[in-house]
Amino acid sequence: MSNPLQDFFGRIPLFSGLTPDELTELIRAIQPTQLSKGQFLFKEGDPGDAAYVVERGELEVFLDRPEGQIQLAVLGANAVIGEITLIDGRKRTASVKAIDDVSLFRLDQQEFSFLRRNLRPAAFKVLRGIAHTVCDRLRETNDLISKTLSEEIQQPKLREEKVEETESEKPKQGILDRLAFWRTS
Amino acid sequence: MNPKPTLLAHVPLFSELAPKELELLSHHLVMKELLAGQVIFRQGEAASSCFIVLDGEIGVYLDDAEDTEAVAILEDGALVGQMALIDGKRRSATCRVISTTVHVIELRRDDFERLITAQTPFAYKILDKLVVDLVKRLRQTNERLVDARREQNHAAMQKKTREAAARLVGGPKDRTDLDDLDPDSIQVFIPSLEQRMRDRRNK
Repeated sequence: MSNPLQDFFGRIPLFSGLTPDELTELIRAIQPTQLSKGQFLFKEGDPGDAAYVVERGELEVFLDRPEGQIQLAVLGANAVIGEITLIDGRKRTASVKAIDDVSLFRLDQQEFSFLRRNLRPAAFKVLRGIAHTVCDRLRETNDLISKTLSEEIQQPKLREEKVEETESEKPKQGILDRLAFWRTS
Repeated sequence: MNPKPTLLAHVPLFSELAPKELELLSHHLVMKELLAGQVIFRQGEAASSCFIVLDGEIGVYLDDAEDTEAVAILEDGALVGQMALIDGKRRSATCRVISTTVHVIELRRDDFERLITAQTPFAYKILDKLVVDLVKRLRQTNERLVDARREQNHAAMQKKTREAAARLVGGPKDRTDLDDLDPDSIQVFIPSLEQRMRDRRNK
């Protein structure tokens, strides 16, 4: 007997190690939800109260700044959003908005915490998946720090540089800072 | 030597474990003493253990030069090299003893894997604490990246200010004279440039 919900979640890496029974238990903590084009999933600064998995449609991740909107990413089917807030419930570090009609699944942070506290194997396995993601991002960020530090040590180039060059350099580095921040959400 | 269960009760990573669980766990752990300057592991090495600091200080370094600053200092209760327990990839930093002595507890990756596969409740409790710690570490590391980038921007800005000021003032083209110009002193003479500097710093 095929269960479309089980099939869908079984394809997401974060949930792929779960047995059918464990998936069933987790799915009880999950709610389907829809957004129409232009609707916000959440805004930067909102409480981090859930993680989401995209079933269909596309969303953009961006920051609103005085100098304009900075787009960080576009997410589509099977993308997981905000899984780290399941652990620390921090405020959203970027805004996410539907680019077209979107259907997704919402995993509530409190419901997930309940499963964790009760030592449920389903939560255990998802926890391991989140741990892997966090390690990958820690490594990336450490790498970026290394690169930044080694740039500082380099000798300055001995040629005339226009002040205007800094104007075009700055946004790229700013985006890296913000991208690093967003990837913790 | 296995650490005493009573000692383990004070370690934050094991704070959710019952006395009987601590007793079981202690058989999987080894206590070690390390001396000043001792390298626990180097960036790029294969990783097989996690360490927990009982006392003393360990410095974390992102390249191997002896005189670079530590990016973090780890003290009592801190985890060292815990990513080895999750993904077993190569060490992402170098860790070295900076106090006179350090006492650590070592948890090997293969032991932890066995406990996890058996889905023992106390392994779950340890993993939970581990993930919480990793997420905190990620947030801190991101802030460090932002600081590093700001420092770099500021240094680049100072250099360009000196050069621009020298051109405006009609000063020497020689690089060594430019180095004597203090960007902050330029504010007095070139208000528009100073204002732009202030705007960038206040971002």
